[in-house]
Amino acid sequence: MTDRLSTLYLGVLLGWLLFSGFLWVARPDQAALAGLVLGLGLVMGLRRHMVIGGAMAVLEPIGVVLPLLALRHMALAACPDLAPWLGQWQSWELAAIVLLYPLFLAASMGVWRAEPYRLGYHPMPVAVMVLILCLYALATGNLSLALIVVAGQVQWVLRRGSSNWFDHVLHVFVLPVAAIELVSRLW
Amino acid sequence: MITAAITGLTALSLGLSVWGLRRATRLGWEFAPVTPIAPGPDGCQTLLEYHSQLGQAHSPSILRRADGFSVLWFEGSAEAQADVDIYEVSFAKAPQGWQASAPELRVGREALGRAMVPRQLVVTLGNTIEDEARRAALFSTVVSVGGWAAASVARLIMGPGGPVRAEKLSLSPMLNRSALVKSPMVAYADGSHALPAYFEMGQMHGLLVRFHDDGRVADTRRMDGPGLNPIQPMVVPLDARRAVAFLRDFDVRRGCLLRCETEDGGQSWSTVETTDIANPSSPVAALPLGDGRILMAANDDPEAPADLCLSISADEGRTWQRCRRFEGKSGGLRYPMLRELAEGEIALCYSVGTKTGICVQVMGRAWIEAGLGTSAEGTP
Repeated sequence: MTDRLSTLYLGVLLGWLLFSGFLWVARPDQAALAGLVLGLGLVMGLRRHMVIGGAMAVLEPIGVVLPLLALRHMALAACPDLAPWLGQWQSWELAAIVLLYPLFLAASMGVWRAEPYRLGYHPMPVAVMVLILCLYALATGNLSLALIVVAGQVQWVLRRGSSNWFDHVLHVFVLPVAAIELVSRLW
Repeated sequence: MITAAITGLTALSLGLSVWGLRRATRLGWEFAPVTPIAPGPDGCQTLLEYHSQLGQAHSPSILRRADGFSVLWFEGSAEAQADVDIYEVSFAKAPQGWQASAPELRVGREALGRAMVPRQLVVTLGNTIEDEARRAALFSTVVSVGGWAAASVARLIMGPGGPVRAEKLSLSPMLNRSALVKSPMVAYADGSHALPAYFEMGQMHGLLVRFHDDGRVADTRRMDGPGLNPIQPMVVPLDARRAVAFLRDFDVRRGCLLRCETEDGGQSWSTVETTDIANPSSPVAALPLGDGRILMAANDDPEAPADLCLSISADEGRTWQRCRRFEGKSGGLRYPMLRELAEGEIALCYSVGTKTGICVQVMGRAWIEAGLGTSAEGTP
């Protein structure tokens, strides 16, 4: 990941955290704006500080998925009318992420001989996976999904950051995000 | 409108896919020919006996240079502590013999953190080896959080004063964690090199990492065995398609060296299996002698696991004849590395005194072979 892109992504993520706090005292649109401005400002201003360096070391490779999901969350909170445009994640889709993603990680850790992570290095498997996900997004009207997989492919093809496409469109922190969202729907 | 937007994104992805496919290059899977090592001098010379003033100095590696070689190791109060940096000694061949420089700090954690792209915290450093595919480049085991199981492999482009740019290799979806290096790279006939690495989180296994021309990871191939914990693969090419890998078993209870083979240039590896070669869970170094035989430096005497022995195999590593022995009188001799130098000389380095110092020796193949069957004392 180039330094500027990673800094931008980290700023968005910090902005989202601040937005979640500001929601207690401000309207969602104000919280989103304040969170983003403060988050980006803090990350850029303190880029050389150990805390930001540590956060970067922990989160890298950040990829596009977490920043785009954070922006989507803030956009929907600030402007609920955008929901039909951005698409909805169905509960069973979240359940599938919660169940299948750990299997993907376990396979990459050598629990099974299958190595799905390796597919992310090669153009043909990546092309097929992106096409399938885009067609699925088309069928379900989920613009967010199409944005994530294609933005990840743009970075991957342009050789910005990881040479593995999965690093651009997946992140281990997606797992708790999906699990919390799923549990909140069941509540 | 939404349908049009997603259709547009799908069309964009198709265009990107075509671009990616047209730009893709095929990896060559034939090992570079192994050139025979000349007999060299009939002697062994100790060039460096270094003892750390900080606490521990461990895992030395050899970088070959036009005028000689240098040795890198990590040193600090203790392994994996937040004061460990990489140090270097250079050796140049002069008319009066080998000349050693003074040990100096080569890679500091703070300097590396500044050179990382993206810039980030580096807490400690570990095994570091030469990136033989690039000038003045290293692969280093870097820890930003946690211990060795949370380490990453970074490529460091070195300048006169230290690292000028560094990037972690993309080897794992677990936040790019748990990959480490130890052994030297493997050369391919097309001029490229593969990096033997290993994964320590979960089910441990060895990896052979291939690269694109620009240095980005292009593919990885796994070396694993059910029920075993194979790490630190040492790959020895036998011919264009065949190679054998010797691996350390992280589980000390089995007490033996592990092994696997490839017959397709490293594309696939046989299941890692135990061998009859004793090993106290420590890595080995090996070097093809070019005549079908393999030279190995290993702690393979179960009666004296602190000793480092040089052995030669004429049957692709199945059986070994001991040639020379270096006694670990003041603690274990560990983490050897062997590299061929010019004019038939072979450099050997290892840590001494159970990770508290570094020893560097240069010897000839003739001297090693002269000890065949005698297990003569190695100290010159």
